[in-house]
Formats: sequence, structure tokens, C-alpha cells
Amino acid sequence: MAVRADEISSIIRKQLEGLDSSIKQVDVGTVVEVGDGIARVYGLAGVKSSELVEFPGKGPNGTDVLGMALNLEEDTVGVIIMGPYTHIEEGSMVRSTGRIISVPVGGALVGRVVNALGQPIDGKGEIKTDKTRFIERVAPGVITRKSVDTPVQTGIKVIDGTIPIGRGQRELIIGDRQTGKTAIAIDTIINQTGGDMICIYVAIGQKQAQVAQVAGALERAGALAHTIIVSASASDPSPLRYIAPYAGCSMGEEIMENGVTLADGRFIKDAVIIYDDLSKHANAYREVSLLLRRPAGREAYPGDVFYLHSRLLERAARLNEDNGGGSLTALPIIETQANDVSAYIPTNVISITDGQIFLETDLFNAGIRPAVNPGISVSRVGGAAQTAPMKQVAGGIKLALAQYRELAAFAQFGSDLDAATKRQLDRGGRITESLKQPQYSPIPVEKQVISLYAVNNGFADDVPINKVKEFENGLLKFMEDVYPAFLTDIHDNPRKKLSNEQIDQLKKYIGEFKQGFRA
Amino acid sequence: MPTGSAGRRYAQAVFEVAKASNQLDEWAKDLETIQQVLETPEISRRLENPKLTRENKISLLNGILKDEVSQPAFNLATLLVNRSRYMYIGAIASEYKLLVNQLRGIAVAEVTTAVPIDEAEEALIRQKLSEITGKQIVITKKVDPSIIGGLVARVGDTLIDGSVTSRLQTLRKTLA
Repeated sequence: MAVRADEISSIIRKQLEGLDSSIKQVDVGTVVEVGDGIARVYGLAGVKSSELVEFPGKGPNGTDVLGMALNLEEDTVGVIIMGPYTHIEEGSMVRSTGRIISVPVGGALVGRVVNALGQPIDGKGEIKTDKTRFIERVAPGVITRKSVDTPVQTGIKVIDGTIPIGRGQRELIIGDRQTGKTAIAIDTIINQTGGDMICIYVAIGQKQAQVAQVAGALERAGALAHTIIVSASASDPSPLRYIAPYAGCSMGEEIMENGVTLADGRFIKDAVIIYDDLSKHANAYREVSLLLRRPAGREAYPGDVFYLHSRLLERAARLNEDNGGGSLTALPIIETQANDVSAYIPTNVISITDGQIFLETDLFNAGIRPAVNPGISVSRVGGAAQTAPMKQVAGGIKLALAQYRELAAFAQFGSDLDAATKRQLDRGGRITESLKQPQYSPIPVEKQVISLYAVNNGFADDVPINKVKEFENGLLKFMEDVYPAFLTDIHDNPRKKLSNEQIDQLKKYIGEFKQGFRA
Repeated sequence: MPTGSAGRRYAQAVFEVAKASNQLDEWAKDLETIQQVLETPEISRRLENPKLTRENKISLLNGILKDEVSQPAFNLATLLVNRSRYMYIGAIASEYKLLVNQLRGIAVAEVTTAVPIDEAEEALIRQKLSEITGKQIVITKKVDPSIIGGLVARVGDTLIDGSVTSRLQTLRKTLA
């Protein structure tokens, strides 16, 4: 269809007529000092805390640069600059906008990569949404909440089996560098493909290549379509890194409170948000605070660094039916140095969250991947966030693993073991083996139930340890090919325990498979 | 510009003394004189010289200022030198001016136009601005051709921007 010139000019005319040409009074100030992403501004008497201010014409190509008023002092206002600040100089004018800092929210963001201000950075064009939300908001109150009762399936057996995560929970993923923290988050996102959750991945202070890698991995797995990536990379100024998690959280809150309708027409009101990682977020906030000359405390973090994370994580919630019944699950990530969880930020975040998943370098190097230490990892929400069949089959696993580790340490010294001890060691070794799982291959919950049942009930005891994985994969393939109805039944009835008949059936199926496996 | 709290405290004290003795304008003149003297390079260099004793510095002031300003104003000058606060005199003077203006309901407006304005226009602007602010307006004029047309008035922290440039910018933003 040809574009008609008169249509275009009529649109432009309409825009011109709608142009607000009235003269407004605005609060202004003058830059006294600028540097390191911080400006000290004289004037701006009427500015509110965390209000957006503008540095007109100071961006690249004469665009306006935004800032946020953070320190309101007697003479001056401390402004953090959210963008390039090299063109701002002493004496530059600053204009208040009367707007509290907010980001665009809604369905249009799903499938996109945005910066901390919600502007697209993936080159896929403009984000068309007319909804915005303040990035700082008070967390939902007690009256609107409900206890956690629905699981977030991560697709990772060791987590879904022993450290279940519920919708609305805050579960910390903690470990040294290179222990697979992000991998757990990515697998969780991939496992939501075709499910009923939107995922938000907030990358704070990471290399841009790493963010691109994550986006690429998600795209290949077809998981980008239900994901929002908020990126404040290492090269972004610290103010952006500081606000990025709050921006992502606001996008998640919109999904929790109002739901979103996806392009394919599905209505979704559950979201999971991953903060990768909050150690770097605390560093960004420390940078901002020190530049604003706020007093430094322990490890040079400012005094309100606990509040920084508590007010963020407290916004994760499960709303009750009167409030729409949506949820926002938070999976913060913390990087420790040499496994030291008693540093300031790790202890803070451990105390805020409802449990933690510990990842350890030793386990990782021993080939146990995901390198989760099930002994010290906990989920304080616990069984309430597991499907009934899962709860039934996974019950003994944590105990068996704990006993195994204790015995394994002991058994190193002597070779004379009684039969019972040996049996426990064998069982533990097989469970550990079965909990290993390669990256990017989450397993649906019904298959997890089958394999956990088989291993935990001794069906793999006569399989050599190095064949356990083969046995398990074979069993799952067999079930999928021969008895798919059994799997569908478990999948479709998450609140129904396995009946005795079902268990007998399952035993029979496993027996059938084992005959073929031996042959 | 920020004057710092020290300047503000001294100015407040001076202002109260001046108000009580009803000598607001005399004090303003005296402060200006003191500022002029203290900020003369030869004198400020001597004041900063650590080898000179306080008595030396005071007697220097005695010789220059004693007959120029009133006794209380001279006392202020010696106080400032005694406490090594003479560098704040500029801040004190400008802060004092603000306080006096505040008392008299006067606001200073910086009016920028693209072309010079005549008396009648200035009077009109003054009248309009005092309607908006509810204060008597003293205008300082500035000519800046880059605003193309219209005028920009700044009273304290408030900016009233009616320039052609800013309207063009709004237009560009709406069409973008």
C-alpha cells in the first residue's frame, strides 16, 4: 500500500496541535562539581528524593542526560548521573522533572533485552508500552500475601528433589566464581519454556559478552520468548548498576499484580526474577555512596546496605486470590570469595532470603555438577513447594545423602566395612551419581519422580556406579516410549500422591526395563 | 553558588545586628568595603602569611579600615582576621544581601533575551514577574542570541523558559 502524503501531514498536524506550548515554571540548579558519575548541584530547592533531573543537551548528539537526586543537603543536591557524563561541566544547568524514577513495564518487554532504564538494547526496535512503574516501591503487605504452595520447577533434580523452591519464595544461589551459579539460573529459565512463568534475568556488573552469551543460550533453547533481560553491564556507570535490580523487580511486580498477555494469547501472572549478582550490586552501591560522601561502614559499605537488599528481596511475594493470586519469585545470586560466607554481603543476603543453594568448587572439580552441597543447602519453605508425588519419592534423599557423606568420610580410613554400611555407601554413591545433570538439560518433574524413585528404592543398586547415568537415561527413554500415559498422569496431577497401584505399576515397569538393560 | 554554612552563620549575625540598629544599608556598604579590602591581593597575601603575627595583621587592618567603616563593622573585620575566617567575607556579603532582600520582599530576576530590551519592556517584565512571584523584582539583564527569541527568566531556583529554542526542542521531542 502506498503511503499517502496527506495522511502523514495530517498526523504531523495533529501532533503539532497537541503540542503543549504553555510556559511552565521549573526548578533549576547549577552544577558545582561533577565527576565519576556524580554531580553536586546548587539550587534545585524543590527537588524530591529519587526524583529524575535533566541535564539538557548534555548527552551525545545534544540529547538530554538523566540523573537522580539522591542526597538532599543544606546547600547542594547530590545527583547520580544515569548516562554519559563527560559533557556535563561546572555551571551546566540542571532541570527538575517532577517525575520519580520509573521504568516501562508490561507484555511488550517480554522477549527483550533492556538497560536499567527499560530502554531496548537488543536492536529489535522500540518497546511499545504506555505503562510505567516506579522502580522503588514498598513491598506488598501481610494482608495481600498468601503462603507459598506452588513449586517453581527448576528442572534440576537435586534442587527440585531436596531444596524445592516455591512461587513467591526468595532462594539464594551462593558460591565461588566458576561453580555454576548462573548455569542454575539459566536452566531454571529454560525449564519454564512452554510453562506459565515469565523469567526476568537482571545482569548486574557483568561482562557484556557474558550477557550476550546468556541471551544466545536462551534464544537457542527457545526460552528468550518468555524472558526479559535487564542488563547493567560492567561498563555502565555505577548508578545504572545500582538501579537495575529495582527496575527488573518493577517489571516483575507488574506481572505479579496485573499479569501479562503474551503474543500467543496466554495470560501469565507468575514471574521469577534472577539477580545476577547482588555482590556486584552492593559494590555499585558502595561506589555511589562513597562518591556521595556518605560515611563508610564495615568493608566500606554504607550503613544502609542491608536495607538495600532487604527492600529489594522483600518485594518478592505470593499474592492471595483477592489480589489476583500472582507471584514473584526471587533468585538472588551471591559470589563468595574462597567460600567465605561470613563476609558482610553474603551473611546479609543469607539472613534475608528463605534459604540458600550452596555451590562448592570442590564438588564441581570432583565432577559433581551441579555442584550443590545438599547438606548445607536449605529451603525454609520446604515441602510445601513440592508436588505430591515428588514429596513422596524425594523424602529420603536428603537423609540418605547426609548419611552417605558422613560414612564416606569415615570409610576412607578402613576397608573392613559391614554389610549395612556398605549398602548405605553404595546407595549414596548411586544417588549422588543420579543427581548429576549436564547444563542446559532440565528434566520435567514427572521424569524426576521416576528416576528419583528408582534410585532411592534400590533399583539401581546392582548397576555399576559408572553405568548409573546410562541406566537412568535408558529408563526415562523407555518410560517415554512405552508408557507415556504414566508420565502424563503424574504431570497432570501435581496434588495427588502416587497410589499403591501406581507404585506397583512403576515397579513392574522398572523391572521390565531392567531385563532389557541387562541384555 | 553555595556559600557554605560558616558564611551563612556570620551573615545571619550581621543581619540581626543591622536590623536591630536599623542600619541595613549602612552595613551593606560596609560589608562591601571590607570585602574589597580583604580581597585585595596585597592584603590577602599578608593575611595568609603565617610568619606575621595576629597583632601585625590587626594593626594592618587598623591602618586601612578603621576610618572607612563603622565601629561594629570594623569589629567584624578584626573578628574574621582573629579567627582566620577572612576568606568567607565574600560569602558573608552575598548571604547578607539575600537576607536583606528577603526581609524587604525583593527577588532578583535574571532575564535573558535574544535582543536588548528597552525600559518599557523591562517594566512590563518586572510587573509580570512580581505578579507571578508576589515579590518586588530587581532585574539583571542578559542578552544571548542563541535563545533565538522570547525570554528566559530565572528567579532564585525557578526558571520560566519562554524561549524559542526551548519550544523548538519540545517540538523535536514530540515529533521524534
